[in-house]
Amino acid sequence: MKLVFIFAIIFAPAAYPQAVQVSLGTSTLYSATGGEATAYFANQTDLFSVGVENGKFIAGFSNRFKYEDYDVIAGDSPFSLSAPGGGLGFISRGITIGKKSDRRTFSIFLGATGGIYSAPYLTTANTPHFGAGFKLKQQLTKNWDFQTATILDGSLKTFIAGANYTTQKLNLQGAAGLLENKPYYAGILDYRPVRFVDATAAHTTYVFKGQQINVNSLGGSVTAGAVNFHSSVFESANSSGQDAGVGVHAWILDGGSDFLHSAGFPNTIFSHVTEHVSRRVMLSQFITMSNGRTTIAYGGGYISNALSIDVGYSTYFMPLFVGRSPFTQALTINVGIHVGSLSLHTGTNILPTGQIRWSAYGNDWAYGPLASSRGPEVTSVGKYSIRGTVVNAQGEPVDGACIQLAKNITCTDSEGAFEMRESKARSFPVAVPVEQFLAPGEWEVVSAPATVQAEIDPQVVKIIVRRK
Amino acid sequence: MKYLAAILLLAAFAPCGHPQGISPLISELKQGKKEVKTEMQVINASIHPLTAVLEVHAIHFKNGKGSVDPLTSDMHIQLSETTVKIPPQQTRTILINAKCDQLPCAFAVQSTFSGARTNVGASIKISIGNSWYVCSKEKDCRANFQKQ
Repeated sequence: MKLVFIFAIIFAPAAYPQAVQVSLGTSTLYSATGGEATAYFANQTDLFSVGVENGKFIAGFSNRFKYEDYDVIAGDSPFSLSAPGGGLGFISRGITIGKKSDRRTFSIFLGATGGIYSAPYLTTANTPHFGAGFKLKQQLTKNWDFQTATILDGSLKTFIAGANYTTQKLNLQGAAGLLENKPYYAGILDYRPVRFVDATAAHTTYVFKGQQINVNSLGGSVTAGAVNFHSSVFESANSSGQDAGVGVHAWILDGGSDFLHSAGFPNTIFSHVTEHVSRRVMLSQFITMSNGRTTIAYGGGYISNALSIDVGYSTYFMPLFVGRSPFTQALTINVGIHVGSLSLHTGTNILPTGQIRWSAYGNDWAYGPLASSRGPEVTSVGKYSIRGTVVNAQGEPVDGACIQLAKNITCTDSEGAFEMRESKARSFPVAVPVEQFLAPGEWEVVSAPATVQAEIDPQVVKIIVRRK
Repeated sequence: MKYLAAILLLAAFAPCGHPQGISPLISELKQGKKEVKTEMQVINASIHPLTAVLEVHAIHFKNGKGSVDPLTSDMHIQLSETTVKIPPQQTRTILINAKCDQLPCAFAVQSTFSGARTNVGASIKISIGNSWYVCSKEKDCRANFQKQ
């Protein structure tokens, strides 16, 4: 902790930031409540995090800046390596130096190392050991890239090298080496010989609470028009399972049914139907038949710029399950709210043990004169419209002039034209907010109508402005 | 092994890697008797609020060469909004209704991003276009249109 504050004092800039993002949240997934502030300066970015994890106070700090062509991070620096089926990540609390070019990215770090604690609202670390590391990613050809990472974390050694090969038809990923003194290998092959056929084979390693979980899988799908046939086989040390199913998309309906089999357990048929009621609203029904019992559940979704809600059920293969079928249906809930620059999110995650966890967090931005403003939410393409042009005193179109009609603001395009769509045929008072113009300079209004009428085929309104 | 425990959890909250811009870049639509309803996303990945002004143009192909022209009267393209103010690191969805009297047809939506206004100096704008191909059949719509 002392190290964090030493960095904070050394690198804290003596200037006001251009923008500050503040995040707060709580989560049963991470067992933590806290927040962080990210301050964006002209030449550097600072991150401060504080929170409580399982009753224990945690804090973090990082200062990112450029030194000549190098990216330097002083303080907490997440260090990750992409691997088939997921990523491997940890954190360094010290100095990280990296450089990025078109074909090569490398970084090295030196400092205390250990466990990363990263949530959308909080980033900090538990760093009990002295450590060092090196990471390199190199684009070898158009299709091939290579990456390697070496990490020394106290007595734990990690050395992993991997390569990816990507073409339009084939995606091949592989990685192997030593993961904290234990052998590690993973690979994925995805082959799509034609647009309607796809085959996948994978060996992936997941890590949960210190336990390495290996999963082998083989799958394929064929699409014929609106119908998709798919099948998969999964295998882990604890269990195995097979899935065969069909999916159909017709008119406003999406549906599908999957037959799930795992040796020694009752078979399950999981079916779902989703009706797209409108572009914004969908309703879903989920039917599960297993061991002579049928259960029905309902879900749905709503999507708009201001609000998104998604409630449904998903099927997971859980490799850690012992003594029960590895296939499980889990409730998934995600809600997002955007009010201006304020974003709020809440949602569920499922642990590999099958337990549901909740997270809720939000973030907002603070600015000086750059504050954002928005009109009311638009949820449809209005039947009626208002059209116009903005010209200068010489009759030339003005690009980037803005017009306010009731609470809505619209701006002119490169032809000096504007259009606003409305759901009702009504008249609007016209204002010309020159302080909102996207066009640079100081402007004043020469002439503008007091009101305009939204119509199916409207008259083109003419507004004249000039520079002061 | 402790630090790797977070790997699965990190994946659950991995930040989206969208560049600043628009999506989709190219889309093929099937028009029946009624207008086609679709949508596009305007993305602000920056740390500042941006304003995007959207402009619709017609795309024409003649002898294999493409051109972007003003909308013709036989193309009826309606956007739910033509100006969107997007807070930092957020996405706005624009609804599009499209109907062409003659098929196939194609149009482009040009999105011009502007930052904060200034009283002096230059105004920096980034303009990105996406193209929409409308046919009676969705398959190979773009390829067939470009062969005209």
